[in-house]
Amino acid sequence: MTFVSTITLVFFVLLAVVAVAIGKMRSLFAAVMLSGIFSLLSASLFVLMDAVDVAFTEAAVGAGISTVLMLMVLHLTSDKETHSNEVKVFPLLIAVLCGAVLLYATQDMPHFGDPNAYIHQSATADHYLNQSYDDSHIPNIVTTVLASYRGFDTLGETTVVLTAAVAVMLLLGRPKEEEHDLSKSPDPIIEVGAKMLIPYILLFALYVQFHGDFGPGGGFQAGVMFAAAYILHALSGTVRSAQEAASENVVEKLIPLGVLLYAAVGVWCVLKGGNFLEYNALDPEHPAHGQHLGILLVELGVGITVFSAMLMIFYKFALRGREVR
Amino acid sequence: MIDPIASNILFVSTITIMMTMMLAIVRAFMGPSVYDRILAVNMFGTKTVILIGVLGYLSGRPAFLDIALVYALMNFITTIAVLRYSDFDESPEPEEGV
Amino acid sequence: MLQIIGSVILLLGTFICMFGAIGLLRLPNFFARTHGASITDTLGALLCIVGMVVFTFGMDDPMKFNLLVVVKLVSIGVFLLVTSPIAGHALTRSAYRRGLNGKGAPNLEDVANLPFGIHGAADTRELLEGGEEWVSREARSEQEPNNSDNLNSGEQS
Repeated sequence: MTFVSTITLVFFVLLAVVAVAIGKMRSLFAAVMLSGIFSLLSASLFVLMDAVDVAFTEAAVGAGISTVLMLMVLHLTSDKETHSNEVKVFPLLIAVLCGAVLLYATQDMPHFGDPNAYIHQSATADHYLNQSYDDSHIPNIVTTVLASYRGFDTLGETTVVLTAAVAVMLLLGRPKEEEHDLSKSPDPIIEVGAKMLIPYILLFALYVQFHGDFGPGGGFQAGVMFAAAYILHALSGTVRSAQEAASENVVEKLIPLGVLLYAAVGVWCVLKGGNFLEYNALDPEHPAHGQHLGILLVELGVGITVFSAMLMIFYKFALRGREVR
Repeated sequence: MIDPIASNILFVSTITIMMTMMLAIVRAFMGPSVYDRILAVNMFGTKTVILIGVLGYLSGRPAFLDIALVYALMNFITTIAVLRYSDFDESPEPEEGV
Repeated sequence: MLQIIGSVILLLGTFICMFGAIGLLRLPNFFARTHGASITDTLGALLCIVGMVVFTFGMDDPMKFNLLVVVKLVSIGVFLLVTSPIAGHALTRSAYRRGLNGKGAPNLEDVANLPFGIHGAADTRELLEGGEEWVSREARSEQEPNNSDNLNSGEQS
């Protein structure tokens, strides 16, 4: 076997081992830490399989923000798993049956990277790979597929992010009146370190947003990085002081603004004579420029929504903690 | 492109980093206190950063460095977040059976 | 040629990381593990980044591993240099304040007041082995003149 496939195999085995260990841990903090390792292993696997955009998103969202939010959930609830001694036979049987059916179905799949696989014969894949640069002058095919060829889908995904943020806001509502701010004794080292790092994180997030046309990146990843910078500010001081930088009212208004921007680009295309989200209509003499402009604006919309949704979810969780020693 | 000797040395270093990652996972399973686990996850994250960098050189794509940078950031933020939002009770009792 | 030098530096960095991981498994308590893991982590990662920078200068490619790659590597290196020690510090401080050190471990103020030099070494050893009844040498020498004053005054009266 080649070197890369050996490493891939080892990583898959590690993934299975970590998954079993997560299932067996009693302490939920340990389980959350192990799920952070799980996400990191997944990101490494995506890198090994040459899927760079997905690895980026997994590293940013799965291993970073997800772990932070789950820790805050544990802070709101309890951190020991309620343990029951009975073995539930019927659910175990269903799970084993589903697993066996899936394993049987994978026998039929083509080998990884097989050039004769059905997906590579289809005309759609051919068009995406060969025509994408001529259509839009953007080298990164993932970005053109995400934002232009499958633009409706991405509009739906952004709306899902909006819905998630709205659901959290409805459930967790307004914070309690006292400052349950989980402040430990303030640590000046973390504060100074965070102040040094936050401007560069913000700058890097801008880079990721607009460099998504040429490398891995784009709206989702950039939104998460923006939110991470504000979350770092909140973690190094108090949440109330971070809210002076990005107050809840402003963030609340930004969440639907991104979706509005996305849909507004679509309506603008209709007004200029094309179909909904047909970016060619934005610049009829040079359709590639129109595509480029349209993709830029919709990625910006996605970035704004993801940033404000993540930050709002963090605020809602952070201001409702238990009293901490 | 890449020197064959340098390529072999890169292979050896990839294997070394993966062994380091496995040792960190063992500590994450074994650690009697939660802080041991946090330390293990932090170390695992830094090793992932290096691993992604080395894999980028082996497969000839400099674009991987963006992922490595993001991962270094997220690792730091996760560690700080764990330490802020934790109220572990460090009574010396074994917590779970694995 | 530069490629080989770069990859050897990278290999050295990964060996240092490996030592840190072995220390993570073999050292007896949490604070020793943090010390070993955090220091070797930072140094090993920095050496790996330096090795990668040297490697990049040795590549001459039509695909152009150019200056942007070096800038990104340097920024990863600076970032790791700044954040690994901060994370190690935060972890140790949090664990100390949560009482992970167990009973009988010395107070931070006592450790800060230890004198330097040869007496400091003896004091430090006593402090770390002494447990709860440890009293610093200065405090002990302050108590003795009081005792001798009491004896003298007792004899005189």
